[in-house]
Amino acid sequence: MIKMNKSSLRRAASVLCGFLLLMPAAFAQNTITVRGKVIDPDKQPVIGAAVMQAGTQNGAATDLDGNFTLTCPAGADLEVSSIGYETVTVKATANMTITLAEAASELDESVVVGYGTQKKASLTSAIANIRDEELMATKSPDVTSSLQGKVPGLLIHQVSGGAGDFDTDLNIRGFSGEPIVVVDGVVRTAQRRGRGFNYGSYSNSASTVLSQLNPEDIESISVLKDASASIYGMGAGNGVILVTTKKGAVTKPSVRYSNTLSFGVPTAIPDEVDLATYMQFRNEMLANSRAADGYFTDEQIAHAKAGDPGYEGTNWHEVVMKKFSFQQNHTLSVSGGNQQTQYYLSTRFNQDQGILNGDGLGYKAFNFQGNLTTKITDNLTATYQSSFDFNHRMGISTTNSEMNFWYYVGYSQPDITPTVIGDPSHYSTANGEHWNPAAILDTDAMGYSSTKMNSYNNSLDLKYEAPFLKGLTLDAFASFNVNQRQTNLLDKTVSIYEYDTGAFVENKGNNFYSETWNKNQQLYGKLQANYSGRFGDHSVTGMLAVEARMNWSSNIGASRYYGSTASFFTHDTISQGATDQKDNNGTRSSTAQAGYIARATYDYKGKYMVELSGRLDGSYLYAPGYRWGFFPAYSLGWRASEEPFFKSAFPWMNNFKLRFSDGQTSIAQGSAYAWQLGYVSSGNNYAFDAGVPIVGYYNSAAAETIVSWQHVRMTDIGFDFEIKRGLFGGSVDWFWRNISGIAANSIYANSVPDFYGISLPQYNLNKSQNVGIDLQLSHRHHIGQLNYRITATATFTRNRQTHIAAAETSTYGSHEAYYKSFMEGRWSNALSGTYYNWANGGEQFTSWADINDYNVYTGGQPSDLLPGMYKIEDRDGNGVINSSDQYYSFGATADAFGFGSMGNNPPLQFGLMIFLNWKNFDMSATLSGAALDHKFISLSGPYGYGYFYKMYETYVDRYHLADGYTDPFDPQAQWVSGYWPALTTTTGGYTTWGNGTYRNVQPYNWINASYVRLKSLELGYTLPRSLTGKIGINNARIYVSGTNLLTFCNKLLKPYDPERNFGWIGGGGGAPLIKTFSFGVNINF
Amino acid sequence: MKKIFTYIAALVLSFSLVSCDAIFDSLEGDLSKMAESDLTANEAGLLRLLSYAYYNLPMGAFGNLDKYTMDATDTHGANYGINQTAFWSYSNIRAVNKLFGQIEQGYQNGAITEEVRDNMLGEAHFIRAYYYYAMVRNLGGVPIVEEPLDDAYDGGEDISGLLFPRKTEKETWDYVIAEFDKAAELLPASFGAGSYRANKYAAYALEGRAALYAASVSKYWAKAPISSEYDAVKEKLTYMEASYADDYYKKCMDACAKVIDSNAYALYGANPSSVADAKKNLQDLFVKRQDIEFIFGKSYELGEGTSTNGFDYGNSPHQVHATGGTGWTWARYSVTLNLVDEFDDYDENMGRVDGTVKTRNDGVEDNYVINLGLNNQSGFSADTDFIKYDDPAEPFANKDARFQAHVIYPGCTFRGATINIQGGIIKPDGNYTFYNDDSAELNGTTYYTFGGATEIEYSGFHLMDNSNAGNWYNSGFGIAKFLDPASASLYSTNPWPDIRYAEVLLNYAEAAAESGQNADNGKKYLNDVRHRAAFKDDVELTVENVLHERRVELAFEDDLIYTLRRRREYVFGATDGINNRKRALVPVVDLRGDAPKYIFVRANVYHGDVYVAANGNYISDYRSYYGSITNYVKNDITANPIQQ
Repeated sequence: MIKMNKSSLRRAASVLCGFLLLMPAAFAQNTITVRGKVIDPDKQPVIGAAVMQAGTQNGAATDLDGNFTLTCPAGADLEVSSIGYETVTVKATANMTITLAEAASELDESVVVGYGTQKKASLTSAIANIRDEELMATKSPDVTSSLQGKVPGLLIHQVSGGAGDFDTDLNIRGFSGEPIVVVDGVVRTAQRRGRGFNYGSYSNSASTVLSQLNPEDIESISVLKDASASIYGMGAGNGVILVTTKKGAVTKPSVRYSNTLSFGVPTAIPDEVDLATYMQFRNEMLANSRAADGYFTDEQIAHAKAGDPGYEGTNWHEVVMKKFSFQQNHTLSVSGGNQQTQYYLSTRFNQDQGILNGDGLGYKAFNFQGNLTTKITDNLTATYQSSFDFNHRMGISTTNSEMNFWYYVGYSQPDITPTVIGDPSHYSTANGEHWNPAAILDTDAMGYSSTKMNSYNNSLDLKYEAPFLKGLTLDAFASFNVNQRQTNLLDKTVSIYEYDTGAFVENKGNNFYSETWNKNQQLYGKLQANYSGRFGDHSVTGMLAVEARMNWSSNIGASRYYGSTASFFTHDTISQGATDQKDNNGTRSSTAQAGYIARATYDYKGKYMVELSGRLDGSYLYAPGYRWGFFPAYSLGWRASEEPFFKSAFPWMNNFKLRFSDGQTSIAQGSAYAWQLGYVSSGNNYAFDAGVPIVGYYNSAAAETIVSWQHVRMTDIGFDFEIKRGLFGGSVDWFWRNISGIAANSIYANSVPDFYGISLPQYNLNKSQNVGIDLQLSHRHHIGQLNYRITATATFTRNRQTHIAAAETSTYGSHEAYYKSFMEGRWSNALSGTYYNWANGGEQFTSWADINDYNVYTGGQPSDLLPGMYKIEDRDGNGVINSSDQYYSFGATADAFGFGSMGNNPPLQFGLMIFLNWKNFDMSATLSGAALDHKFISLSGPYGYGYFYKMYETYVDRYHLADGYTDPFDPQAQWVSGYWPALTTTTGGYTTWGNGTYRNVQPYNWINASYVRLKSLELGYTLPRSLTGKIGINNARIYVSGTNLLTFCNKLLKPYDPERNFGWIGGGGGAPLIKTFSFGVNINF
Repeated sequence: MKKIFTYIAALVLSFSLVSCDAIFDSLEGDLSKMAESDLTANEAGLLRLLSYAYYNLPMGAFGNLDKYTMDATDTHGANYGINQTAFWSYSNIRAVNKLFGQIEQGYQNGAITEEVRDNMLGEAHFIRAYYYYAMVRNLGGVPIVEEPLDDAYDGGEDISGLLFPRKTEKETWDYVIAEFDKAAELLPASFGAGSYRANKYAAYALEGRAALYAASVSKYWAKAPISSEYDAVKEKLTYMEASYADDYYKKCMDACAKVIDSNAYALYGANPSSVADAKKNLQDLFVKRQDIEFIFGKSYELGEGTSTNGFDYGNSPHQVHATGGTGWTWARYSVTLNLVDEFDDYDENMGRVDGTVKTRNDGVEDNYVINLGLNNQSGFSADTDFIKYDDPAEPFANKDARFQAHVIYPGCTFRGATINIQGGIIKPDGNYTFYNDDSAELNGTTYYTFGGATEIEYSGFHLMDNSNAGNWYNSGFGIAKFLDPASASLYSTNPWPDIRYAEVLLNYAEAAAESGQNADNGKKYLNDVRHRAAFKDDVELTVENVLHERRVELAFEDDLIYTLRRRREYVFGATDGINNRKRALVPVVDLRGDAPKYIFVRANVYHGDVYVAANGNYISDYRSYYGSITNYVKNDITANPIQQ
């Protein structure tokens, strides 16, 4: 058991008082002048070493000869430190020579790998590692987001910024699909909320596990990017992320408290013009669109200019958002232990109230983590780990509204007040569809969706160090995890009224209540044997393991309506609803996986390294006899820097290692039990008697589907180097991932006669490929007492389909059609197919005469165009704009409707981390960015103009009529030029949808979305121990920090944020990303 | 070293004790999937299989097929051509072919009795016959597959086991008739009152329908001849000849007689006491199932509030719609003047007299205004000698009870409201407006183009150029059949009557008239149908009289399109087709006199923004009587003439 140190708790309690009482202490002592020299074990001077009087800011640095001079009290503790050496503490004497021992290099650090740990120096695979310090440099409750820009090969893209949504995409090296996430040896998933139309549904996600962990509990994260993932067998084809939580150490109890208080504002919201200007612009749009009515009168505009009651104008973004969001995060942890027992206990409270201006909306989470290691006998160690996570997300009611909420905001009219003038209790029509965003945010009026998740994770590990064979350990591990989700949805009806007359318009909403319970349980067991031995210059390790994992999940849901006209609500429970309109459903499923694992490594003199591994893995997904696959991998390493010739040629390069890895793994595909012939519900009922429907069952297969997993082969060539013990370092990796056996229709699918009546099963036929490079460069040095470390990372990755079986029998109507739809061998992110270029670098139609004189057929009527539109290049010069004039370009992360490729992770991403410390100050900054990506802005979307009743400042620079003209179709009309085309109520012309060819291909539609942003910046100050020590505090640090503070991107994207998704549906892709300003303390007792 | 091997051996042994394949077998499996053996283990399982086969019957329920004919048009201007997609589903045929074996297996398992087995086998024959009927009627002869082919193909290159040549059209018709016959033999007389399963008489009724189709095609094939140079004709795949006709007419009458002579069915409200009584009976017949006449059809009562046919929502008139003024699609089923003129009037003795709507004093009723378009009228003169009615409903007062029951007409009372359908206004000064909102005053009362001031006060002629919001009848009439005259509904669940007793009588009468056999019965059956509509006289048994009766009795029940098809009665040639237009009757309020009067303008149906009225359906190529064969290359079968 753990003995809590009461006095340390007491000290913790008095910490705040302690801060207030801190006073500079002055003590009279004998001061001496120290003259000293700092040398290394080879008696060489150490240049630039820092010599500090402990607990003060009194210090000096060594010169070129390693000498320093310092005035301090006699006998004072001097801390001498230099990069690459162990820090030593010595008593001050007048003349002294201090010898620094070479520090354990990072190369000697242990890195967590699959089913074990390895020294960094002997790694032969592409495994990136990030430690707590680097992770914590970005203060975000979402661990995935905190990783952005820090790990080469890890592509991260924050899609939206809703509280508790953790809507961040993560993949390794551009591999489509999520990696496996392993926390303390256990493969875990958590439930993730769907996007867009799937907003109300949940699926299992690995990256959400990562997002929801308490970042303070994380010791390190390893990313297995290449064949080293093979050891996880099936499903590891997208790589593996290993998370290790903090453990106790043999120290006296250490209590740590840290907090973060953050205030957030959206990174970007486009500015709107004031109401009077909007009215004028609206009239201009209507005139340009030849509208008969709908114009604002001069009187109305005059009222708006005067700001008369009812004419103040509504900025709907301001209505639905708070001035700032508030987040807080508190972690209290205790760790310590003795030779017998070590422990780490922590608890966190995290709250994000979110930016939405609604009572009770937001996210709350509690995390508890307990890690306990104890020796049962001299040879037998038990480790028990337990975590409990609870979180609660409270959102607006999802039925009809949440997916579209931001769309409704964009769509709501600035001339309509949120509530009826003079009657704030009645909500107004707001927009054409009468979904009033203010009403939606009012959970009393329209209801809510509440999601509570509980996750319990427990594991016990028994490790036996075999006394009879040195280096052999036997390990038995078992874990049991339970995840539960409870979703309650209340959808209430609200009455909508005209904002000015107060007349009733209609009721919106459903008076519906539903509740869904979901439970996932996972049992995992593993037996493992490890051996490591050293025989002279030969080191070997071996590992054998067997493991099995089973999952059971079940769902049950029920819903009722409260009646179509009921405005009366009782408590929100199922039983209170009307019994004649009710529904319920339930499902159950179970899965299993098992594997036999082996690995051996050989290392000669730390110079030549070989690793072999293999895994025999089985999955329930496949047919008996086809369930098991063998996934071998090998890797080779050569530390050239250990060769004598290298050492003499490049003495300054203390590490240079070449690595090669190659291995096979898999990605699961196909639905479970596809191999079982069976009948399923068609979903269609036939009533044999009125009111007695019988659901039809059918099957559509004759043969068992024996499609197996996708066969993934990952190959990686890389090198690591380090110069002058960390002064410069880095690694570069080239990687190939070839996938074969992707399920596809048989080549006979097109030739089997209809009479068969059966769809043919799929086979493992297609192939694809990912190729790319990732690199990391680091530099570590100091200038005087200023220590700094810089790490840059970058990843570029591409993928393509290398074989498409159906292509053999497909025919294309034209060469053009072939080029557009034949994907084989073409890099996918370079192919999106349908974009034109604009003529003469962006020449605009300047007048009606210009449009009428234009001698290129535009695909519509000249009247579909308006001055200010950009001319499309007639690429083939045939006088007609058609699809043969199209170009190809890099893909967009969202199409016009926000569907399709929404959420793509850009193929080139990079980051830069900077850590500085100077005396007691420290600073860290992270930049992250992406390139080779485009965004599509539709002018008929919520951020467009006209159609959606908004006018943004961005668009003021537009083609418009010079004063004195009122008819835009008068050929004599004088136009004033601008960047944007003439305003219309739709874009591109006055007819209903305008000229389709021209509408979405204008220069402003298709924007390079490259960006760099200051992802995080933190400034900290560690209070002098001379002060804090007196109240029992070992270390106290205060800091201020921020995230997403600065963004550099194309100016057209500036109002929207280049990283976030914004499409038509989901009103600009969901909640805006948040820029936060935080402060907090870290205190160790 | 030796020690190490011992340990490793021990370890390997302990690992192999964990027999991992066992954990896969211990899982519950896919709980949404049922093994075939589960479904044949009890009757409920077999019913699920049967339900799938029934659901896929191509009944065309509420499929609006009459819009493909001259008798109806789509309110929002959608164009309906001649061809519809033919039924071509060998996956459904496979399902029913498998069903035979599954039913037998169920019997072997003791899940069902011999009687239930035979009944179910009868249903399987019925369903299979129906599938093939739906194919042959549109495509001519098709390959007949009677067994599941699951074992005939191994997934590779060899598809020889899957090749089936087309049967001749006659062989296919014979097969359909034989299958219905087999079904009838096996099926019980009834599955109980209110059942939607096919019984013996459903099989005979469908057999009669199929035989009449085959007979008609035989007799009239040469009326729309297709050159024998086409392979499909040469091979008699799309070929019938007059010599086959009599045998099929006889088969039709025999099958119909089985239904009629059983006395299991009768006309609902066969002897009405008055026109009003007849009208009420004829409304009731389609609002809910009347067992006495309903032989086979599909239920929409599926036990969930929202699983409905939606017909009421889509087609109720604007003034009495369940949404009360908001919503998107309604009143989409406009009935043309072509059909309205076809309904007879009653004479003073409740006998039949021509029911052509009288609009002019000079008796000229074959003159149509080309266009009463929004912006441009051509062919209209306000000086025409129109009959001036006091009430917009007056011209229809004497019409057939079936018209009154099944058509929404100007001035009619429906769901307690007077339905305003009006398309024009002639002002006191003689100026006039059509289809555009306008108004004028007379004697202190304001009159409007559409008969009301706001959108929800009228049901016709508004927004005809808006394909999204055209929810007002564009022909002057709307459908009332299948609509509940008492109340509107968002979720109507009235059944679709695929075949009812009246059609059986008319099928018999047509066969009798065409073949000259059993004329007495034929005449009686024809007049039975008329008497139910309150006519008291008897008409002679002629083909013309039967067709006339079919058109008014079976209006909007997907009958006319197949009658035109099987009898080769589409208008031929593009020129004739353009002259053969869907017509509208446009009621106009005429304010030129002391009191408002109503005149009626015969005009072409106006569609959208196109200043050409909708054309009547015609064909310019006889080959179009047979649709295209799907995937004929892959299926290695002869293409139809239209594809060659």
